[in-house]
Amino acid sequence: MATAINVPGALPRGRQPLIPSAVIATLVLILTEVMYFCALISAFNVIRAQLFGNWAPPGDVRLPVAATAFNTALLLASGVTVWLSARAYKYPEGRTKAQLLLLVTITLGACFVGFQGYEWVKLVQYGMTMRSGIFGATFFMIIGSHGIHVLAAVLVMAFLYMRMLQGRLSLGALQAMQVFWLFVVGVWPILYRLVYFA
Amino acid sequence: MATQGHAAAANGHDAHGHGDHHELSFVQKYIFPLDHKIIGMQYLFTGILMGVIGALMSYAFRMQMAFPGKAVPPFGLITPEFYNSMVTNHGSIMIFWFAMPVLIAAFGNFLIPLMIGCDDMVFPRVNRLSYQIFLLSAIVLIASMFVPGGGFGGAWTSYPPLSASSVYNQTPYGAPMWLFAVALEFVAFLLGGINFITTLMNSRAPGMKMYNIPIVIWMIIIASILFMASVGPLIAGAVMLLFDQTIGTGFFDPVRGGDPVLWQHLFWFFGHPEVYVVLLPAMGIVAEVLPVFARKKLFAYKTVLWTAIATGVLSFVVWAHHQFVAGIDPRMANIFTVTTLLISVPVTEMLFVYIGTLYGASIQLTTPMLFAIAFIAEFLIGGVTGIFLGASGSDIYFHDTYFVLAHFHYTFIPIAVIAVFAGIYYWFPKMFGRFMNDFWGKVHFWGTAIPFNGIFLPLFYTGAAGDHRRSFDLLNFPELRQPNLIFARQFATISLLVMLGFQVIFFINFFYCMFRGRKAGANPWNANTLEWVAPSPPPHGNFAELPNCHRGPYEYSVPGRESDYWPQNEPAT
Ligand code: HEM
Ligand SMILES: [Cu+2]
Repeated sequence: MATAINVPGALPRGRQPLIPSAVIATLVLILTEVMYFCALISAFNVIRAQLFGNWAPPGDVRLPVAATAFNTALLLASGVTVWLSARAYKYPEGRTKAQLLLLVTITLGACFVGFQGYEWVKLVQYGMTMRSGIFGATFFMIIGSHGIHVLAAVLVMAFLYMRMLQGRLSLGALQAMQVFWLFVVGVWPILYRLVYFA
Repeated sequence: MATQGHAAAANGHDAHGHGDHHELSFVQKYIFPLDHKIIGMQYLFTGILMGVIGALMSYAFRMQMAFPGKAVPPFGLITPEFYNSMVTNHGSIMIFWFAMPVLIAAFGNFLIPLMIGCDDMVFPRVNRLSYQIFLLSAIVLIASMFVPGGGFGGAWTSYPPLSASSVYNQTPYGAPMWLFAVALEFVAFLLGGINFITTLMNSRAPGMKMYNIPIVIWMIIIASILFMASVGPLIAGAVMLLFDQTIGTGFFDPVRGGDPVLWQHLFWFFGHPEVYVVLLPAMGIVAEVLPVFARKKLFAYKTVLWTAIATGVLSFVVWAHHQFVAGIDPRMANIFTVTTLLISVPVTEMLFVYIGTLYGASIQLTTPMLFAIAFIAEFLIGGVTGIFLGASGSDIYFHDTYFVLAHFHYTFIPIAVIAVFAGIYYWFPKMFGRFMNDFWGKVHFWGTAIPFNGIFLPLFYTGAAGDHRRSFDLLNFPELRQPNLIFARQFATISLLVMLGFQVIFFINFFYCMFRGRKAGANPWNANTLEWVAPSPPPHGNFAELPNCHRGPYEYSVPGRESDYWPQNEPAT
């Protein structure tokens, strides 16, 4: 950032940003992400509408609606913990609390991916793959897109957690992570409703 | 305060340390630079190189159009597969690897920090990564033309089912590689766009308020936002298409429950905003050049800004005008006709504002000014012909003829060639500390502007007479064998050769003057914006002392002032 301090002789005023750059950058990224998921959702609706009610998984496969409801609850809980963590991190005395809450968030996120992966293995064993038909293809496309986001975000959070332990994590970075995670958590119920209850 | 300290650490810039102007090795400085100016140069040179490659491709297929079946040196006989691959990669290169990197990435990287008065981008390392991914994407694209089966030939729009399966397109490796290259390129521009927007928000010179930001910076930022908002759907579509090609899903295959028109929606939802992504920065460059050489305030700054924003918003609701013959509901077509005609209103308004800037001015016809004025005149033709295509009734006839092709080249050439030349001639003194030769610049100007019309005016005519855009040999159609049509096609091709020839002058002028040109001072054009405060060429860190901003960017010939310009950083006395 162009803080005036970096340049000898510059006027040391007026160059402090209101919102941390990392947060702005994340918000811009989320703009693209929102459009990405909007496209997937409309693609899903377009493809489904053309099958005139014949929208069903191949064979006698059933989507794990109840298990995924539990998974949804895990993810929503992690949204709360990341928010609390970023809030606590603002104050020096909240550091340990923030660490703990971030660890909880990472664990919840990892559980979400883990359970989902387990469900996927079962679905594939029952014969629903991306090539088994348009139902499987759209399912794995949408849920997989979201899953990759969760996985990537969990990995980045683990990295941030390490930096936090070393005392080298900035508040801006944590806030940016929080914004992104809240996005990942926020789209999930929409996708869950769309795909599992279609 | 603690917060802000953290924020500084968050963006990694602290490690970069502009404070100590230590000497960097050649590799650090030019191969893996963090400096926004060098990254801008990398984008500029890579983009221009790709533009040259794209131009040579156009030579190959234009020769085939004018003299079908004759050997074209050095390519030899043009086969249909080669022809299709050339057309496809020409279009893709010109839009994704020439227009975007040069207009947005090169000018954006070079100008944004200089014109808003800061020392570098907010995330220099992300910036460097952006260029590296871009370079990789270019390499993948070029490589895709040399794999077994040849380069992808399904047009830059890549419509399925042709593009979705190698059974149809016969390019088992070329098609996925093409798609992969495009996807990589989007990632590069995502990273760049994030950087641009964040830098503008957080690093402006103190005192630079919303209406003090130079128009070109606004335009690049608005274009970046448009890009970020429109690219998501295309990425989604591209992933699905890649799955269709590689693992055999059926997203776009009607036989297996998919929908090919879905791709068209996803593509054009991006594709139409994309044309404004390149248009707006070009408009911005022209807006910088005009006031300087008219020695007059830019007429109606706020109008330009708000019409640009209006154009951006409207550009999201016109995409289906590319699909009038794809079997969409006629009632939908009506809606999209209305929005398409609506969008030409703000664009026209911008052109009027530029003409208003010229009105009553004491114009200096330097080379950049000639290019800027030519932009207005030529783009006008492109915009006006868009109206005929936007009306769904007439488009049913015009669609996929050379009329469409002439239309969009009358928009793209002014944007990606004429405005880019205006920008290069104008900022060359800042980039390299020397002037380009003005006489040869003017020769180059006329040698570009006249043959350009010679290429595309005849194509309006042949298109209206029925020349189909995606045909390898038009002589297969008896009604297209008329001598006047053949003559028009040959005239266009000869004009292309002339235009390409004149570009040699530009390159000689460019590279000669980089080292031998007349030396330029910090502010050779007596311009107001902040980049002219820095030395030419600006050193690492840009400014000896970071400037503050005291007024708008276009205060020329202010009554009651001795000098006819008023730099933004000069305190009012
Ligand atoms: C000013 C108002 C404009 C209008 C009303 C307009 C309208 C249209 C329409 C209706 C088409 C579809 C024609 C068809 O395929 O049958 C079209 C094609 C096209 N336009 Fe425009 N346009 C405008 C400006 C621009 C600008 C500024 C650009 C570029 C920067 C542009 C680039 C293109 C391109 C590339 C295509 C062809 C796409 C393809 O099929 O490969 N247009 N335009
Ligand atoms: Cu369009």
